[in-house]
Amino acid sequence: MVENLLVGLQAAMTWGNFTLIVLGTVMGVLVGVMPGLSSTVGLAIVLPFTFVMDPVPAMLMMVALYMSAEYGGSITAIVLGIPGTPPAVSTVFDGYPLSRQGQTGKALGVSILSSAAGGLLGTMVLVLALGPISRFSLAFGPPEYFALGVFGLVIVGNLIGESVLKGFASVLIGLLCFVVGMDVLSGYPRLTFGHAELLDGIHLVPAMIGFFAIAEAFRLVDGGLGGGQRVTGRISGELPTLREMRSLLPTIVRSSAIGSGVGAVPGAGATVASLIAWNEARRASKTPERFGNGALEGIAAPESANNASVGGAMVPLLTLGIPGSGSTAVLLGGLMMHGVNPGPLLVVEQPQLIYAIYGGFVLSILSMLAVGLLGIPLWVKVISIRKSLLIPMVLGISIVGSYAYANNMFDVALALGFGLLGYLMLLFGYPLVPAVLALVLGPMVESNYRRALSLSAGDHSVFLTNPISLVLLVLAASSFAVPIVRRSLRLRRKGREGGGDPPSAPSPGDGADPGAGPE
Amino acid sequence: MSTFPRIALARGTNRADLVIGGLLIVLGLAVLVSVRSYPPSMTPGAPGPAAFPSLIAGLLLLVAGGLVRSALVARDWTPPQLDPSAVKRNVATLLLLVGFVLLAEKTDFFVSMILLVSCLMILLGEKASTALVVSVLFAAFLYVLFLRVFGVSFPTRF
Repeated sequence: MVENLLVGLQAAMTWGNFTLIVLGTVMGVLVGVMPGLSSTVGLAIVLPFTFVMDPVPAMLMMVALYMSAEYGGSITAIVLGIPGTPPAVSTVFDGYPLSRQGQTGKALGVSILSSAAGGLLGTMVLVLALGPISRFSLAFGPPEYFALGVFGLVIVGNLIGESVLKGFASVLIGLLCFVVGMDVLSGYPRLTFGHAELLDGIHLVPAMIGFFAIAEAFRLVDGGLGGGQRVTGRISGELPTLREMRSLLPTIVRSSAIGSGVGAVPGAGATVASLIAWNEARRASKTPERFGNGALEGIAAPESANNASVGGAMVPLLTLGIPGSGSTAVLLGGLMMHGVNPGPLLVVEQPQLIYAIYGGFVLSILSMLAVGLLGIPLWVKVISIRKSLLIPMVLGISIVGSYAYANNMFDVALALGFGLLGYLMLLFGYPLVPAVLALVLGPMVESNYRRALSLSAGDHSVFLTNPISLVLLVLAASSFAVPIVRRSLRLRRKGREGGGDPPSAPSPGDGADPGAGPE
Repeated sequence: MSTFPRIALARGTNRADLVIGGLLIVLGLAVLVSVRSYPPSMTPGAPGPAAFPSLIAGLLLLVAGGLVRSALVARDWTPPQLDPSAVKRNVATLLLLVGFVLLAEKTDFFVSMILLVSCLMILLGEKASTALVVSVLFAAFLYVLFLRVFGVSFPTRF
């Protein structure tokens, strides 16, 4: 492991790469700090800037952004009590009370140090898990890949958002969008309605920019345009002591393990990881009553978990080509744009890229530590940027990025169309991440479905006679059916208890954030 | 200010689900009709280009049917409550973006970008002078970065 990390560090450590990592870190903290923007939006915005780069520097910049955005969200959470990104929700619980006690510097210090420690432990999990999982998945054939794609989509459709049906509707919308264009196997144009521009299919980059960045801009317009949040009072420069940090070590290790594990599960992501980690830290504490009142463990747990989840999320992405969240979907889009196809063969065919990603993770963490600690006064000022300036710039960069992908205005129109569709989906409680994942995974699912059936001469039992695909499909089917059956049983019980009154619908958005999804 | 901008409608989603479910049923049927004319596979036994879209359309019909059913069972016909000023701002934003797409290719990409960004800033409450200065600087930054540094070819007259 150490050898791989050292090779990676060597590959990543050029002046050009290091500059891009610092740039990615600064952009990551910026999007993390601004409420409403997240690592997914940041990655979608930065994607066009990587068009002209080689795959390694492009990935390093994006990884740095992804990692540091997870930390950036905690600054707003601690200083203002507003989570800058969805995973920072649980940082508010203890970070804001501590800040109100005049210990903002200490809270921010615990946050950055825990984020860095969590990021490092997540990287170790990535390095350790990548080889064995890649070797295991080398045995996968078309039925297994089809089942894996279906499993990923079903889990994401199921876990994200307020309703299973809405999650699946989103998956199917994404799959229908993927179908548009020339069929790769037969060359027949599908659902193009005579438009030559659509023969090439819906380009992933404009679609992702539309879904994530433009839809987010519409949502920010919708959410009211109050100015940025002005930070009053002085930010104390007091940092946590070595003794305090040492006492937080068990919390950080436990939370990082939770973050890495949960991050690797498609659909779960950093938000879920940080909530579980905060809760586990409270359960493990001898003084749980301190939680919610400014406990340092209450900041260390979510922060180490959400940064560790970045390493965890990269495992299925790099070994199986399965992104489990919006951010990793954009990363996958970036890799594919540079001609890199993640999967088990990636480790064998492009080890230098894998090692460089390892090295990029370590350098990103160091860069995050430096930028995070030195830039605290600046990041606090960034919170005050007015939305009336921010939204037009997000839209402007989105337009240029969509255009630059293939040098045509059709892609700009496409991005705007997806932006509008994404905004309407968010408005009516339909999560976006499943649609984007379906768009990304669609080619893998269809090509392996058809290949498997070609090999079996049209016999569908090929998916059930293969043990791995059988297990994955049974898991997928049960995760789809169980919530629906449970819900109808609950409604029926409610109806009976209510003396035959029609059952009322569950309140939409009960604490769920369909848009946020996993980061 | 709320923790996050409003994400989903708090009320009236049943009516919306009924309409969306209906639209998805129409979409699913349209796909099924459209793929009927696709040729069969050249390989015997293998699925042709119509198989996957048909499968998705079929599943879409099921899910859309489920949405319609759950909306009908809930019987909550509260109309969706939208903030009129937010709707106006979003419609105006959309119109400006569409205007940009129409204008950029015929005139100049970056001049249109200055117009778009400054109009958006003014629409969102920024002072005209600030909007103009920021949008010119912003467009200049994009011009230098994408056209000069990255070498992307834009419809531009400069």
